[in-house]
Amino acid sequence: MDQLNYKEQQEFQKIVEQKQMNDFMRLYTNLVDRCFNDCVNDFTSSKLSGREETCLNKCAEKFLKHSERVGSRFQEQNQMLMNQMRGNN
Amino acid sequence: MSFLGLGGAAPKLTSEQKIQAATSELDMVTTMFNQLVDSCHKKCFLNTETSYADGELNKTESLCIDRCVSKYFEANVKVGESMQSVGKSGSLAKM
Amino acid sequence: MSDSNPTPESTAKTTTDVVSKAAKVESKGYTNPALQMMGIKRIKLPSRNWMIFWTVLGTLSGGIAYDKYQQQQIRLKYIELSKKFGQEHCKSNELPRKIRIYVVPPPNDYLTEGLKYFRKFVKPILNSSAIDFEIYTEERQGDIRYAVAEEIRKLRRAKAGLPDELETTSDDNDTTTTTTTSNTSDIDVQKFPGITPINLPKIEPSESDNEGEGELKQVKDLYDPVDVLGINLYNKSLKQTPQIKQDSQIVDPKDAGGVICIGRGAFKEYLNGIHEGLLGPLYKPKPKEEENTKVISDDDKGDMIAFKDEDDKTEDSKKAPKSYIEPSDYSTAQLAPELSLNNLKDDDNVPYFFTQPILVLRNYNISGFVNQFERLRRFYFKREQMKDYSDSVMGLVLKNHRDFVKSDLTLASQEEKDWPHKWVKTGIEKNSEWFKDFIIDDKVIGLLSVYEPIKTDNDVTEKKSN
Repeated sequence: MDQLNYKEQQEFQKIVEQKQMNDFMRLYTNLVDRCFNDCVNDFTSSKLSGREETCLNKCAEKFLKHSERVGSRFQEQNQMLMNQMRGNN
Repeated sequence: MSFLGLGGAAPKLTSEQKIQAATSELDMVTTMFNQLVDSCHKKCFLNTETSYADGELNKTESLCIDRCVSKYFEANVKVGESMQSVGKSGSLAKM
Repeated sequence: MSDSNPTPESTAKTTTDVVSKAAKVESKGYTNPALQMMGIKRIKLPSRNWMIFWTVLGTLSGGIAYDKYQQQQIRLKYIELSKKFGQEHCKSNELPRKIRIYVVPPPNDYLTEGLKYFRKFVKPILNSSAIDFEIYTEERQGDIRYAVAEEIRKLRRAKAGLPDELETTSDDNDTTTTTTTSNTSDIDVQKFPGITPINLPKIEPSESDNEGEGELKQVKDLYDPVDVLGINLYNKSLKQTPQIKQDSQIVDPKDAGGVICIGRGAFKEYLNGIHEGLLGPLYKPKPKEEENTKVISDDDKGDMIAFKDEDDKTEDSKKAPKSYIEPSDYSTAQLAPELSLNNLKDDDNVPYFFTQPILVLRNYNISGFVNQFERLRRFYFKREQMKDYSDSVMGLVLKNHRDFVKSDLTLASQEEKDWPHKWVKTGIEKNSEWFKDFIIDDKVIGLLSVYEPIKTDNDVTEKKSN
């Protein structure tokens, strides 16, 4: 709806990159939070136990895979929706 | 004022405003995606104890994710539609 | 007890009568002082009528409960058996096996009944073995045949590079939209993912026309929603990675996908549809357009999967579109010259659905006054139906297929015995294909295969429950 000229486009591109970086950071902190909550429940020691460590590894791996899958589905659905709206217009 | 297609021709926006609008769009995309990831994670990995036994997604979970995303989108559209209709009837009542 | 002792001093005779009666009643049942202290004066069996009532009620509901329990045991057993398939690893760009399911309304009943059987007896196994599915239904006889045939025809048209003759309003018609995207992209579409445009200003096109196109770009063309996501930084290839269907990775093409037909009618229509699609002409034959209005309204629906349309309910009386080819012409027709028969796979390298093995499940519906006992029996032995379905579906899960032979045409034909006569009569009057004999062609039959049920031992459930 909004039309941008060249200068604005460049500015916008920068913002997109910045947002992506922000989102990556958020992903990271979220991941830490989620896996910590799910895996680490024992505070009788200040070091991570072996079990907790493997759990954290698995959790991170799994969550990233999950995000990837959601991401590709997200893209697909988005594409479908766009096509639909184009078809309607 | 262009909400709901009323208000006639949109006034010319300054470039800052335009960028701002675009940025909030980006925010919306990321927010939605993060919520989506979160919700589907919650719904599809019921038991964290057993699901973290394995770092890979298995087929059941994958299917669940696929369906979750498509349902989320559908829900999104449906809610959007109902919001739209509510908005319309509201504005009609005002007029 | 005290109030049962008659106090009025009328005739002695009646008093003694009443007393003896009371004593008689009291003598029935069981009592003891401890119970009396608690306010329970006598324990005795309820009256005969109550006994009958409770016994009958107990038997009936006990039968239901027992059947339900057995069903649950069977379900759990099969879920357990098929679970290991769901536990297989799946990369994030892989799509699990997908099958299609054709459901028809059982005779003299509604579609929901057929869907219920699917939901209760088939779906749990599919879910635990992580098989994706797509359901195709119909409200009137002939729709599934038409849809199957139309899908094949569409495929053949696409292969031959012919347009779909019907200009449709449908939104899944990509071939027409892609050519016009350059125009339509100017028309505003909001980039908000998942939200239908609320404030689509229709003024936009004119505005964009006025401005110079060279330097101006729309926001939505500048980025892809996925670009903004942080997950992209983690896995740069996310955007490019194509989705791989697991059905396309399979060596034996018969191992991919699968088709379930629930009901004899669904099976018949499905086979007829395949014949029509593969042997029939690509477009609607001309001479059949006798009633113009009808033809047009049929055409309007075109490619939108007509039988999924919700408006259909109002048009129930209307007949499904006629077959494009008469069964008598099967033998002379050529088998889909557009398709290369040694490589029957679509663009994703998934074998075409009509080459995928078929599983037929019979309906267990029965009605009519004479059949009430049989009906009652089936009601109390739903577990038999469930067992039958589950074994068959396990055959599908384990890909236990074999080539189609002529005798397979009788699959699920036991069901025909149960079809109510009156219903059959109206069906024949309406010229429904459900009641016609199968006419098949060897060219088509050669492509098909069926799933063989896997007989699991009966004892497992019995032992478990005992």
